[in-house]
Amino acid sequence: MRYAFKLYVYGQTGTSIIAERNIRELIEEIRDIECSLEIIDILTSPEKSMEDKIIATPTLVRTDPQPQIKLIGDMSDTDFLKAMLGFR
Amino acid sequence: MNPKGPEVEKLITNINGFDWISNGGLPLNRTTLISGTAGSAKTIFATQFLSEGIIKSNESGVFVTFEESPEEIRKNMRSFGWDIHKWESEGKWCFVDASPQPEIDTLETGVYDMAALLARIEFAIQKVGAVRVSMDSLGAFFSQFSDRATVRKEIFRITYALKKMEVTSIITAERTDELGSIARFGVEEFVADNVIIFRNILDEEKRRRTIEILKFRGTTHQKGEFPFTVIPGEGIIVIPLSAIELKQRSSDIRVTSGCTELDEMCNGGFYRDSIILVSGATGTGKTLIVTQFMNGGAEKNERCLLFAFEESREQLFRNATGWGVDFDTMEKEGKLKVVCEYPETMSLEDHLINIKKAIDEYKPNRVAIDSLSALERVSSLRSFREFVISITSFIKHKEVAGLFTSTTPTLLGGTSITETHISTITDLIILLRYVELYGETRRGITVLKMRGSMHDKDIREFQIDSTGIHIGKPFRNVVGILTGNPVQLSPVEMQRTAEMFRND
Repeated sequence: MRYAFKLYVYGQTGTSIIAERNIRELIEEIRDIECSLEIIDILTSPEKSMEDKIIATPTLVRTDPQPQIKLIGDMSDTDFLKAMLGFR
Repeated sequence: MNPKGPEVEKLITNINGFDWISNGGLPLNRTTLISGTAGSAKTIFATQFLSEGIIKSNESGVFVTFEESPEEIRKNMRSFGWDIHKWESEGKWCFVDASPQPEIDTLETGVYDMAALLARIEFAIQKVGAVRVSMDSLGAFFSQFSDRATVRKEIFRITYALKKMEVTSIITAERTDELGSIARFGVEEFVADNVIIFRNILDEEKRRRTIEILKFRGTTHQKGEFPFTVIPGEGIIVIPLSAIELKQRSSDIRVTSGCTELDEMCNGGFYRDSIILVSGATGTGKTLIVTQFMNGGAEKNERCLLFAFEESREQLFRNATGWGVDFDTMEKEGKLKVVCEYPETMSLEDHLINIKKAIDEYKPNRVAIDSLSALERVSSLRSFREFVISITSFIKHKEVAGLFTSTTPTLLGGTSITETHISTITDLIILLRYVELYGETRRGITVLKMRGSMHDKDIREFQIDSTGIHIGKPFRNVVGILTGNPVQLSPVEMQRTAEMFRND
């Protein structure tokens, strides 16, 4: 199975930095599963957030596999994060 | 420099009537909270604020929706004639879609803020060069997130950012009931500079919509509730009742009532710009007076407009023929327009707007409404009072002669509610009364008051035949006609009364 994520951040703000670090650590940890991560900075390209209707930052969108899941927050609770994204 | 210091400027909204009650529009570059219960027309106002900006001021707008999807808004607002889709393609309107996505599971984990939303709003404003922003609604925004404190903080940040960007914005919020706190979630605490409340109250089984500007910080507005209506093809129309100024000019020119004897009773006819009230029980001849009033105008080549709320067109035309008046020909010659409407077809506010519109379009020299009492039954007392004041002042400002009829509830004597409310506004009151004498009913007419003119004080008998009304001699030996208790006086008694005031 293949996983695809988009992480919407807002510049170099605290929550955005923490969220990016948390999600990168998670991907590192589950090395045997194929994951792609796209980081989108709303500060520099706000038009990209229109399509996914992003309101809050940071927001992680799991585009693959279906169904789509949106996670809002700095993703500090990594156990919850793993469970919600479908990793055991 | 202005010695009072700079005042808060306003942005003209172009929403019908609203700019009057707000003394010139919404506070410029500020956020105004629009609060109301469900179904109080908040979303319509939010949409109209942007639409009127595009249509009348060439000002672009951004609509931030937290509730309905853009597709739904485009569709729902089409009945008002607002083609949002077209404006979007012309780069005058931009949606920021923050409506919930029920098909996507959204979960919260950890700390977040709404920087993305603000970035999108800013992006949209720059994209279309927006001057106006509508956000609809706060309640739907709150319900998407569990952390209310964050949402509150973010709304404050958004309104601050909008101010910096020099856009004028409105934000809608829900109230749980008509008399409770301003809005749910305590939002008035952070967007409290300007607050407008929309109400949709059930009053005597009739829905009554009102708008009230609660506060505008640093600037003025009209106080109290103002009725408004929502009309397909137009949207919200606020009815500014106190927009009534006693500024109308007054004329010395007399016009005919359509009845020579009545003109004589009024010392030469009605004044051209007067409001005339004809009051009487059913069948005393009010519609006849209206018919003659129209006929008298048409004979002088005036344009006459008749609003009939009691009888159908056919009935009116047939009755007129019975009194020797040919409405058909008058209408063909363009001297008369008859508008027949059943009072129950719409609310009083809608009637008011239709009447005003018809007057504006037809530009009559004289207007008649037969009868005001028929309209009374479709509204609450308060709405009716407002209607009467509003319509009379409107007609007065047009400087045309207006004749209204009013039906008294009792056959003999009595006054109607209509009279109570408009007698001070009217310039001329004509009473029609049944007079019971020697076991038969006769009819009496009197001019009760006439501003700025001498008039006949007698109560005269009148007859109706195939050529109309014929006013005859005064009732000399009868007292108590007006109060509904006609009593005949014996000649001896009359003699004594006459002698009471003899100076010798």
